[in-house]
Amino acid sequence: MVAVMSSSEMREPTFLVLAALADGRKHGYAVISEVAGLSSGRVTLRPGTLYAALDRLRDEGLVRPAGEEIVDGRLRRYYELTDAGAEALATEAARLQSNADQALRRLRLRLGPAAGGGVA
Amino acid sequence: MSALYRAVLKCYPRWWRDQHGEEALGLLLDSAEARGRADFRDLLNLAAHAARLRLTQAGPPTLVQGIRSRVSVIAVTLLAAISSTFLVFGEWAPWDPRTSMEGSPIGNVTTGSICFLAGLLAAIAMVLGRAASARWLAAFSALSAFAIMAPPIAQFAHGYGFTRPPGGILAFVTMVGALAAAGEPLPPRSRSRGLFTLLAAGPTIAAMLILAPSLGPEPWFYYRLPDQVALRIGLGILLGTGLIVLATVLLIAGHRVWGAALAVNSAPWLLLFALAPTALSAGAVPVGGPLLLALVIVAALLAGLIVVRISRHRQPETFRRMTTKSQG
Repeated sequence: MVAVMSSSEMREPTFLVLAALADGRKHGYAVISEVAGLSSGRVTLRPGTLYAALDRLRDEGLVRPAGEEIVDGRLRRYYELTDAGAEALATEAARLQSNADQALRRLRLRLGPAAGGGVA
Repeated sequence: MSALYRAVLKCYPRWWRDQHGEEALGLLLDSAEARGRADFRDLLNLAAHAARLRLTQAGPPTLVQGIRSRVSVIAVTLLAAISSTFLVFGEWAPWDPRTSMEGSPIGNVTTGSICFLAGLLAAIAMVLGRAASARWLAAFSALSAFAIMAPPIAQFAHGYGFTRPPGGILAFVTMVGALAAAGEPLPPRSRSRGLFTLLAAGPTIAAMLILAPSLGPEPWFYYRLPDQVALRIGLGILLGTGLIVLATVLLIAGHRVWGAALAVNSAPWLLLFALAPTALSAGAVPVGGPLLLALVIVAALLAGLIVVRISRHRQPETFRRMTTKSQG
C-alpha cells in the first residue's frame, strides 16, 4: 500500500537542505557537507539532486541566491533561506517534533512504569 | 578531471549550464579534492538529472521546444477532427447499413476505431490539461494507425493491397499522431483556451458532416467499399506534410496564431479533397467543386479569425504560463 503524503509535508532531503541553510548562507558543497552532518551520514546529497532541489525551492520562494565569489578559480554561489523558507522549515520541524513526541509518549505507555523511562 | 566534469555537465541543457554550470563544476572539484578522487556516482547522478531535465522539457522554453509544443497542440487538434469524423462516418454510420465487410459480425467497425478513439481521447486529455496523457494517447494512435497500415503496404510490392480505413487517412493519423507526441501538447493558454482551439475546428467538422452524404451513391471515402489507396497514400502524406510545414514556417516567423489557425481549419478539408478527387470531378457533390472550395475557404477563414481574435486578447498570458510551467 502506498502512503499518501499531503502536499504540506516535506521530503527529508528538502528538509535537510533547508535546515542546512537555517544558520546562514552556504554554497553548494557546504550544503552537501552540512546535510551529511545533520543526518549523521545517512543522507548523501549528490550534485544533480542538490541543484534540482535548490531550483525547486527557489521557484517556491523558500531559498534565494545570496552572492557569489571566486575561490581558487572556482565559482561559489551562495544560497540563503527566505522568510517563507524559514517559516516552512519551522512548520515542518514542529510537525516532526510533534509526531516524535507522540510516538515517544505511546512507547512509554507501552513499556509501562517498569521500564523506568527507558526510552529516551 | 575538470574536462571529465565539463563533459558530463554538457548533458544538461544550455540554459541550465548557463545558470549552474560553473558553480556545479566548482562543487565537483571541491568534492573530488576532499575525497582525493572523483566519485562516479556523482557523475551518474548528474547524467540522470540532466536526462530528466531534457525529457521533461523543464526550464525556459527554447525555440525548438516552443515550436514542438505548438505543433503538438495543432497536431492533436487535427487528430481530434479526423478521429471524430471517421469514428462517426467510417466506423459507426448507423444510418448506412451497407458494409464492404461481407459477413462481418461487427459491421463496419474496423481496427481503425482503435487509432481514432485514441486520437479523440488525446484531444480530450489535452483540453483537460493532461499533457502527458495526451502525448501517450497520441503516440498510441500513431503507432496503431501505422500497425494497421504496414501489412498492406508490404503487399503493394506484389501489386495488391488495401487498407480499411483508407491508407491515406491512416498515414495522416500516423504523421499527425507522431507530431503530437513529439512535443508537449499543452494548450497555449488556459484549459478553456484549449477548448476554444478545438471548437475552432468546428466549422471543418460540421462541414464534413454536411458533405458526407453528398459524396455520391458509393461514398468510398468513409470506406463503405474497398478503395484503391496506393496513389492516395502519397497525396495524403504530401498534403498533410505540406500543411504542417507551412504552419511551422508561420510559427517560426512569429505568426503562431495564424499558423495554428491555418492548420486547424484547413488540413482536414485539404485531406478530404485529396482523397476524394473522383467524387468531386464526377459531379457527385451537388453544389459543385469550385463553390464547395469557396465555402471551405470562407469557413476556414472565419474559424481562423476567431482563433486569432481570442489569441490576441489573451496573448500576454501565454508567455507567463509557458515560462512558469517550464521553470516549475
